Amino acid sequence: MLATVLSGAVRGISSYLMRVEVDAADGLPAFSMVGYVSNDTKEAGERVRVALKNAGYKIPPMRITVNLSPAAIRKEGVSVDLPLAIGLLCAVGEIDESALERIVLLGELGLDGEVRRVRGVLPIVRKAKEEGIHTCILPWKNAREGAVVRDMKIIGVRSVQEVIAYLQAKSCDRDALIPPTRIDLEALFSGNRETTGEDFADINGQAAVKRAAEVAAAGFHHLLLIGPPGSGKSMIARRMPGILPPLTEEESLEVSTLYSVAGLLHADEALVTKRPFLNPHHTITKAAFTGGGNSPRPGVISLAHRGVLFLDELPEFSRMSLDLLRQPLEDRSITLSRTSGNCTYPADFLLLGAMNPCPCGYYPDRNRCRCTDSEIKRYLSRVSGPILDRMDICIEAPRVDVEELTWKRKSENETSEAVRERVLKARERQERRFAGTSLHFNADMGPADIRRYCPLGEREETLLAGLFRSMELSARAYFKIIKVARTVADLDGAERIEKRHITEAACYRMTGLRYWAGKEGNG
Amino acid sequence: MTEEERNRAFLYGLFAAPGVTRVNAGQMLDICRTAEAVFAHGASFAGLIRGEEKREAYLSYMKSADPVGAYEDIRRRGIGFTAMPLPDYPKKLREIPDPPFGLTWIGRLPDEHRSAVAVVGARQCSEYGRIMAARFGEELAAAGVQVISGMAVGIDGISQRGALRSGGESYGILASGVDICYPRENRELYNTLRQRGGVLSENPPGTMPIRQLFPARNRLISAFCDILLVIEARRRSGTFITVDMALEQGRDVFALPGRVTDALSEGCNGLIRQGAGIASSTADILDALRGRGPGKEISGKETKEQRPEAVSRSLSRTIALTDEETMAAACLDVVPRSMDEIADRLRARGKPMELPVLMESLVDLCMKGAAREEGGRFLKRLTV
Repeated sequence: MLATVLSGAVRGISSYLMRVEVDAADGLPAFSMVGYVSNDTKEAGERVRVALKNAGYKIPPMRITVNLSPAAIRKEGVSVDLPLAIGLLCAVGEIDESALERIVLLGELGLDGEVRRVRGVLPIVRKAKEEGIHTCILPWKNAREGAVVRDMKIIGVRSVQEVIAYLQAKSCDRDALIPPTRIDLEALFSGNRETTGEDFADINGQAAVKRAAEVAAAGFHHLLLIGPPGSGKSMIARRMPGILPPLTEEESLEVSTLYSVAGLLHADEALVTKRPFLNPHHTITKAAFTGGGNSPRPGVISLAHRGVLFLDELPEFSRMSLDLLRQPLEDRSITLSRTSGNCTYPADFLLLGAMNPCPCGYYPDRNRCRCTDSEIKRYLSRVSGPILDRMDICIEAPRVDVEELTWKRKSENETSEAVRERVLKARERQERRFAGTSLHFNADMGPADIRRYCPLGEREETLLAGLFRSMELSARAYFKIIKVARTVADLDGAERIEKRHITEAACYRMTGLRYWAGKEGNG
Repeated sequence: MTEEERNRAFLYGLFAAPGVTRVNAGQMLDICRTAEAVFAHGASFAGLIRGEEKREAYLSYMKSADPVGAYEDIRRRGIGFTAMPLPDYPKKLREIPDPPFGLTWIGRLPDEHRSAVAVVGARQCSEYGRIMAARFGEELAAAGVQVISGMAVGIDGISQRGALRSGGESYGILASGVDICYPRENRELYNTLRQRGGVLSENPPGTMPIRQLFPARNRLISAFCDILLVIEARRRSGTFITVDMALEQGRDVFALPGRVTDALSEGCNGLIRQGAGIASSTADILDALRGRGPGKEISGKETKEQRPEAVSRSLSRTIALTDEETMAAACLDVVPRSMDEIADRLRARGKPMELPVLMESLVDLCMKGAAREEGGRFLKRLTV
C-alpha cells in the first residue's frame, strides 16, 4: 500500500516541502530508499525500523520502497526520520492516511523512539505556511522555533508514540491530547530590551571611544578600535550590542532563519531577538569565516548578520581570511558556489575591529614603545588596505590612568540605555530619510546617495576642501567623512550637516590616516 | 695621469681590497713604500689578511684588480678619495685612536678650519626631540657651524635637514658606501647633502649598510666634530657609542636636558649628571666653541638667541584663535595627548568642554597650524 507524508528540508536558507512516499508491497523483504539521497539520510531507514520496534510496532517483512520527492534535489540531514516512520505505519495500515492531510512532520528519531531536534525548522515552517499547510508536528525542542510563524498550529512531540497517538485520535480530541505550542511574539520582543549585565556605565573614562561607538551604532558604521593592551577595547566592543537599536521583527526572522539553518537556535529561545555578537578567535579557518562545506552552512559572517562581528587582535588574523571579508562587506551577502549549486547567505554585519597600534602595543607613547617605524609598518601592513578602507570610524583607545581603574562604577557614567535612546532617535531620522529606498543606515549610502541626502553648505564645503588637502584624503575617505558626519548630525538632531559634525567625523578618520601614512615630520 | 694621482689610484686599489685594514695596509706600505709596489707583490702579503675567506677574496682581488681603472671610475662618479699616507687626509682623523685607512666622499670634506658640531640622537624620537633637533641644526648652521651627523632616521636626519634649510652646510657620515643611500626614506636629504655639504664613508663604494658597520661609523661622526650634541637618547642606546668615542677622542659632549619622566631624555639627563654640558640654547654651544681656542672661526654673524617659549608665544600672537581653541591649545603639550586627556585637563581647569566641541577646536587648531595630530592624539606645534 502506498502512503505519502509531507516533510521539508532546507537548501542554503531557502527551504522546500518534501514528499516522503512509502510503499509497502509483498515480495522479498527489503528496504530501499531513492530520491537523490545522501548517506546520512539513508541511515534513517535503519533508525526508523528499530525505533518503531522499540516503540512497540512491528513492521511486517515486506518489500518497502521509499521515495523522497522532488528527486532532483540532493537530500542531506536526518529530518526525515519521523515522517518516514509515520509513512511506514500508514503504508502498513496502522495509521489512516487521511489523518495526515496538510500536516508537515519533521524530526530525527532515537532508537528508543524519542523525537530529537533538527536544523532549519523555522524556514521550513515558513515555507509550509506559504504552501497552505495548517499543522506542523515538530520535535518539542523545536516547537517554540516553529511557533513564531503566525497562524500555524505547532505540535511539539517527544516520542514517536506521542505522534502516533495524536494522529490516531479524532481531530476534535487532538488539541486536548497535545496542546499546540503558542508563543507571544510581542512579549518576546518587549523582553529583548532587558540588559545583559554588561553596561556602558561599567567603563570609566574612554569618553572619546564611547562616543565613537555611539556614532558607529547609530549609523551602522564599521568601527576600528586601536589601543594598547588593557585599554578596554574588548570591554567596549562587548557592550556594542547593548546600544544598537533592537532587532525589528523582520530582521529577527532573517537572523533566526540563519541560526535555524545552522542548528544554533536554542530550545528555549523561539527567535533570535538580540543582535548577534560574534567574536571568532583569530585561528578561525576560512570556511568557518565565510561558511562552507559540501552543502554549505552559514559561516561566522552570516551568523553576525544584522549584528556585530568583532575581530579582536585584527592583525593576528591571517591576511587571507581578512581579505575574504572584502566582497561580503561590499555586497552584504556571500554566495558560496558548489558543484551541487549556489547558495547565498546574507552577511550584513557591523565590522568591529580591535588592534594594538604596534607589536608592543604602546605606540605612540614613546616612553614605553621602542618599536621602530619599520616594525610598526610591518605590523600594521598585516591588515590589508582594502579592509581598513572600509572602516568608517577609527578611534584610539588611550591607556587608562590608574585613578580610572576602580572597580566601582562611576555614577556620572552614562548607561547603555541612555546611549541607546539617542541611537534610536538617530535611527528614526534615518528611517524617515530612507523611507521607500533599499537603504537602512547612513553607512549604506553610496556616492550618489550622499550627493542626494547630504547636501553641504558653502562653509562646510570649504572646510572639507581644506581637510581634504591637509589630510591628503582619498576620494573614498572624503565620502566616508560625509557619511559619518551625517550620522553625527542625526545624533545631534540636526537636519543639515554642520561644521562641527564634519570636524568630529574628521577626528574619527585622522587616527587611521596617521597610523598608516607613517611619514616622518621634520619639525 | 700625474704620478701623485697614480699613487692615489693604487692606494684606492689597496683600500678597496677585501680584508685590508689600516693596520695591515700600514705593514704592506712599510715594506713596499708605494701602493703600486704592494700590488706587484700582492700575493705575498696574503699572510697579513686574517680569516680564510677574506684571504681568498683578497688573493682573487689582487689577481684581477685594476686600481687605476677603478679609481678613474669613482672619479667619474664624483667620488673623492684620500688615504692616510696622503697629505689631504683630514687632520682630525689622524688624531683619533683608530683612524680609517681611507676615506671616500661625495661633495666636500668638512672644512677643518671651521667649527663643526655633531648632532645625534634616537631614531624614534619624540616631538620635543624633533623640534629641538631641527632648531639646533638650523641655528648652528646659520651661525656658520658645520653640522655633522649620521643621516639616520630621527634626530640625525632632522638636524641635518634643519641645517640645510637655513642655508648652512652639513655632512653625513655613512656606514655604507657613499654611493648608497641608507635609509631610503632620506633620499632627498642624501641628494641635498651631496650638493651642499658632503656624504662621507670609510668603506668603499658599493658597501651595503650592514649592522656591524654602524658602531665604527659612529667614531667618525665624533671624530669630525668639535662638540657632540646629544638631543634625545634612551639610557642604553647606540648614541652612547658615539658619546664614548667622542670622550675618547677628546671632544666636548653637550646634552639637551629633558623631563625626568621621559624615557627618551633619560640618556641626556644622565650625561648631564656625569658632567656633560647643558645645551639649553644654541648660544651655549657657540660659547663653548669660542672657548675651544683660537684659530677656529665660527662665523661673522651674531645669532639672535631664540628660546622655545619665545617662539610659541609669537606663534599664538600671529594666529587668531577662538576662545575654545585657546582653551584647548592651553591643554596641549609637546608630547601627544589623547582627546580624553585633553578633556580631563580642561575639566581640571574648570572649563569642561563637550567632546564634539573639543574635536572641532582641535581640528581647527590643526588646520591653523597650531597643533598636530599623531595617531589620534594631539600635540602642540612649536615651530612652523
